[in-house]
Amino acid sequence: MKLTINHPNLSPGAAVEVPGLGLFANGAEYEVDEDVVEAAKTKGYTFSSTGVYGKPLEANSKPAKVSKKDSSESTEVSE
Amino acid sequence: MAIGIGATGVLGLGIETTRGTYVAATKWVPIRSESITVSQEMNYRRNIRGIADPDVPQVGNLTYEGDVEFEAYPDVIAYFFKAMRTSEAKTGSGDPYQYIYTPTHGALSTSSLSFYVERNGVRFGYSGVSVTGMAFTVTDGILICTATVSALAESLPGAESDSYSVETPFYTGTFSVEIPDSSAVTDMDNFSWSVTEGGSTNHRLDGSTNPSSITMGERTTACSMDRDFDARTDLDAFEAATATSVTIICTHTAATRYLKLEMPVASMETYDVNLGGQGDIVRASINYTGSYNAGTTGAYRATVKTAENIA
Repeated sequence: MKLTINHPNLSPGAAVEVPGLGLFANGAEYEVDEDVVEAAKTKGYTFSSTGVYGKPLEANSKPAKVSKKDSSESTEVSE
Repeated sequence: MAIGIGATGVLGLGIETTRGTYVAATKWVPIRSESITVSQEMNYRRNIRGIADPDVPQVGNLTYEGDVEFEAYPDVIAYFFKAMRTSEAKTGSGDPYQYIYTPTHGALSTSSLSFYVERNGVRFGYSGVSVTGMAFTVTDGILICTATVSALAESLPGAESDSYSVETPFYTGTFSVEIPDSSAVTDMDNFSWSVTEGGSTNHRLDGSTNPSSITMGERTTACSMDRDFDARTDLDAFEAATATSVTIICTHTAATRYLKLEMPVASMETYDVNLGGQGDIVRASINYTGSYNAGTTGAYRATVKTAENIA
């Protein structure tokens, strides 16, 4: 599942929690393993159908792409 | 429909561009509870025609109002002050941003919010939300805010997904109370501070059962606390109706997370000191009411510092 975490009211890199998936740094895109997503869904969590939390990233931005394999781990952004 | 509990609920808010036009949530609020309800002005018709029961009512005017109780996160409370009857002065170009809210005196809140609420997976979208009062108190060591809100309408919104900033509320050890201003007192264990705007939900014959406006009325700023009693000074000031000033400062994270609630002109409404029992500490129970102050152009001023960049 592709996630976009981009809240304009928060500074880039600020920690954002997506319930069921954990912490992400603001202003980036992520690939979360489908088994992690499905495991969270079985616990009752629901997620954005578009994967976007906040606003879509602008086309000219260079998002960090980080694979998230475990919902318990925090994610650091690497540029 | 499966039975559900409150834990799965969510509340998000967004600042409206046009009052009453719903916008999707841009800020998700961890809440302790909410009690926003819709009530209908039922017109049970009592026509005399040989029966003692009412005729079925017609649709009546709808009112949407209630409270939202949440831990006073610095990034959240600014939104609620913004949707009250205030003027906002924002400074800073990065974390922390500073917002100073001073009271205004018109009929309407300065900004309005939309609320997205999910209750057992069922969506509610409130638009035209005005904050008609805010109250702060310390519960179990945490600063709790209760915002009283009214809305212009409610309808089913599209699905939205919640995500949360990682913030810390103000807690025991981060509070300082000054009476008067700049003179810290350390003989109290709790306080409550509130602003009520005298909100009124108004319906008009405009073809809608929803409110046409939410107006503000007489504002009351109040503060109450219990203090250890050891001198007549304040009692004498109370009996002489001598006003003082009250300032509550909550701050942590090297003052980048900050809330200051000021009552520049605070008069003691009541001052009670009693012998409650053999083992009871002798304490004074004091209620302050704020009056207009030219310097703050109102009876209070609130300052918030937060990482939140509110547009």
